[in-house]
Amino acid sequence: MGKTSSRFKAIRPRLWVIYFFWAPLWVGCDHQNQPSQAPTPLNLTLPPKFPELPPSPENPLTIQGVTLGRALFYDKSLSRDETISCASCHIPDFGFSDPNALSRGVGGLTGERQSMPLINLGWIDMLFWDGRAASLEEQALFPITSHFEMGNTFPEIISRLNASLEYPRLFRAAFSSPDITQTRILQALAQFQRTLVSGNSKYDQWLQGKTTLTSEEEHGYTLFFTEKGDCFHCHGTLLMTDNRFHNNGLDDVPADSGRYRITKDPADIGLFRSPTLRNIALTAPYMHDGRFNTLQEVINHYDHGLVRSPTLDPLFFNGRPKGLSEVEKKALIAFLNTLSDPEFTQNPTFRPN
Amino acid sequence: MLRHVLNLCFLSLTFVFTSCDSDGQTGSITLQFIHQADGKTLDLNTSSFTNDAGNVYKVSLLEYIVSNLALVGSDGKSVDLAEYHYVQLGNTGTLSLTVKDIKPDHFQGFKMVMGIPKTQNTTGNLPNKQVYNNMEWPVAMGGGYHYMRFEGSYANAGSSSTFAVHTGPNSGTDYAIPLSLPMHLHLTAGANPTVKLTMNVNEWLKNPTRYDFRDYPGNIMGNPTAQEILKNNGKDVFSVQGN
Repeated sequence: MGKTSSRFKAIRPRLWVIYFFWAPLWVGCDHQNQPSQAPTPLNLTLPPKFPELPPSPENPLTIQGVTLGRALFYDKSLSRDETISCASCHIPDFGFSDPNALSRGVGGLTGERQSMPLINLGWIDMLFWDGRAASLEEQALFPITSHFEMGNTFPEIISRLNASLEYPRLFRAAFSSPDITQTRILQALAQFQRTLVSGNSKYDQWLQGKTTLTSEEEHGYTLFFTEKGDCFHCHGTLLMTDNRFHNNGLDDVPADSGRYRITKDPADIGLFRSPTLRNIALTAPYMHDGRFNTLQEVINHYDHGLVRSPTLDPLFFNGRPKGLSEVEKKALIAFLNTLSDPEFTQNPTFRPN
Repeated sequence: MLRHVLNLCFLSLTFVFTSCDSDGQTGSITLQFIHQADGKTLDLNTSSFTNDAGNVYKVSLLEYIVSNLALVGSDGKSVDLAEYHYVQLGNTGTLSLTVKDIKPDHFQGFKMVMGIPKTQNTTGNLPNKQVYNNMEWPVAMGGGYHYMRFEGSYANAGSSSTFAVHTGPNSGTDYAIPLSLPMHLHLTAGANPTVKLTMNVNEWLKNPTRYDFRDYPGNIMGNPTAQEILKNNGKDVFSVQGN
């Protein structure tokens, strides 16, 4: 995050609403022949005590870039048959995830893995369950071109966007020229996704001394952050993820080899990236294949369902049952529910215009 | 009048010292962190190692924090190098640390703390970055940061299992290990010698107490017995080599 002072440094949701409402009108007055103005830098205001957002010097956040990225994110014309947008599988009401275990793409095809929630992605440098993309700019390339997701090609997308009335103007506003390119499409999508920051849950407010947890929630917090529950090693820190890869004991011989597909290192068989637990109550089903429908099922798995395999993470104590009582499981779920952030899921600037 | 003269002298000397620094009258040293098990180079997930308890093990993770790194000068005084340093096996960028602008001397020792002393080990005291935040010791367990995470799998007498050796300030108790190691390092102006710091991980698991993974497979963060054993075993885990 830049340190320069600007009138947008502390941009608030209400201002966003005003901006997004009027932005198309402003852009609409921008004729092709007029000299382009530089886009306006956008400095996100981060939640208290969050780590500094890693810089993206090749693709700095701008108000116009985010506006364009938001439009593209909800635009079904990015898919081959114009039936699927990014938001089809990353739905705001579900923490930008998908209630289907496996997401449905063009032509009724289904994907191989559960749609990951799009939350606090600016801090992640190995995206997807297997970490195959090193940046958000790189990430969007995969679903757009995957034959069972959006199934499209960039020449086709660029042709469609050029034929629209709005996009050349939006690209000019975001990049100072109306040229529509693959790079710019990916950059704009990345910019919008970097703004999807969640950090105002009840848990955050409790950490800041603004509210109290119930005794059950606090019991769950203690279990979560001690060795009894031992959730914190993979889901600690304010981001609620270590952004590392683990084999969490789902299968002895995994049908999906996970991180191994990328590294070809046998030690990575069955390893998947820890997702954030922020808004976890909204992002069911769970795991890379969506096999668990409820948090109760997830906790039961970690309590007594871990399957041993050569790459089972040592954090799981060789699959030994935790012996959590029903009261303790309920407390853990109560705590997990405090990670929901209505300001994030209901934020109008994250939704379609 | 005398005060003015002294001030002038001080300013002159400051100028001289500053000039010396900018004229290359100092040197640098590079600390290199090396890891082995009884002389066998440590790697991740590939080679097998054997400890005193007969556990044949592979390592999947080794990361730790050392703090208060300093050289001991010929006059016996400390020359601070770094407040803390994070090391992760396999992460090349963490395996060396170069410190510049050190006055030439014939250093006679090296000091550091394995882990972080209690007075410095509070949550939020290290930079707010994922790599440090992942080392946090939960506030619910006293707060601060892990000293070390050493994990892997092992086999013994036909059975196999995993181990997770996590050291840190259990319930606020200080298990950090102050180390003072003799070393000869001759630093001349403009030079950049390497100081090799070698961790023999098997030393964590013996001397004075044998540490058997079968007795402590994991969940030792809240186990004061295990933490005490590791603190005592850890006193000779590191060796240092100057030039």
